Amino acid sequence: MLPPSTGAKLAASAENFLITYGEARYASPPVSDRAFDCSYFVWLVIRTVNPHFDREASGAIAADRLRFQPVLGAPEAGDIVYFPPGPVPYEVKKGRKGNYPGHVAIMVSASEFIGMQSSGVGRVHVPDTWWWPRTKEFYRYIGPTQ
Amino acid sequence: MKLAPTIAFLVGISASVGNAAVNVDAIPMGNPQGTPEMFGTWTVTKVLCRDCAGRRPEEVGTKFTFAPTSFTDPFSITCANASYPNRAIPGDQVMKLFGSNLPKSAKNLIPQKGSVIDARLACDKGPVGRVLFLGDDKAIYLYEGEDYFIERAKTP
Repeated sequence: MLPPSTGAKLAASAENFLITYGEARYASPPVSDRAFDCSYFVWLVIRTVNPHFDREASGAIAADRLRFQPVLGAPEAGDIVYFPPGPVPYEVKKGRKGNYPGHVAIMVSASEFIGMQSSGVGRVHVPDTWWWPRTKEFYRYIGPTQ
Repeated sequence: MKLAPTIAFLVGISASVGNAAVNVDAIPMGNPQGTPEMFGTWTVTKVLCRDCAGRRPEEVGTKFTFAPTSFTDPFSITCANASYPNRAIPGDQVMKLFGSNLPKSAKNLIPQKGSVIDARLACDKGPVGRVLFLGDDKAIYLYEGEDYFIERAKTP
């Protein structure tokens, strides 16, 4: 049997941390393992395959060509979904055209991602109305593993 | 004769420091079956946004249903295998926990006395949402760009 791929390991870690950190709240900058932001969650997940991974802000992850490769086709489990800062179509439709912060999370299947959301670590089923219509990009971790 | 006031002052300082030192983040969640005050039909009666200017609150009137083993969350999913891990946190600590994340319009809704129930809406393998149950059939549903003030129907 083939060993699990890095993506499968990352998705499994995100699933585990959904439970482990289910009580955590959103806080930026991060305060502790019980109060942190979206890029901290991704850092926690990637550390499970690379304990030396340095935490990067969401925009830095999207720009890091050494450790993250853009995914051009459909995302797979373990890929990172990145929502750049910008307007949210759901809000624009309701008259609010301001920009919202960027966000980063882990895809655990083609139709779900897990991340530190405004309400805490949670699973988001997509396509949903708030996240999925946003501009989004996918990245695959290609950095070292151990 | 001045001893008593001095002691009272010291006690006051001690209580104040002790309360401030409480790590509310460390209060664990339990009781995943939820509590009766959570269950029933809840309706969005107000949108709590950081900047509501120009925003049409079309979500007002949206209904949630929370039942012991299922829930319907129009902003997330309908779940047939629900749980509600929760914890009671002192009302005066809610803004400390969620202050940077809650809109200012939520602040006045948080009771400063007594406790608030901080609950996750969990389905199968983990949480998908979060609700602060304020008591008196009032609650705040935490969402992304804004939060929703929801009220429970008197006859669920």
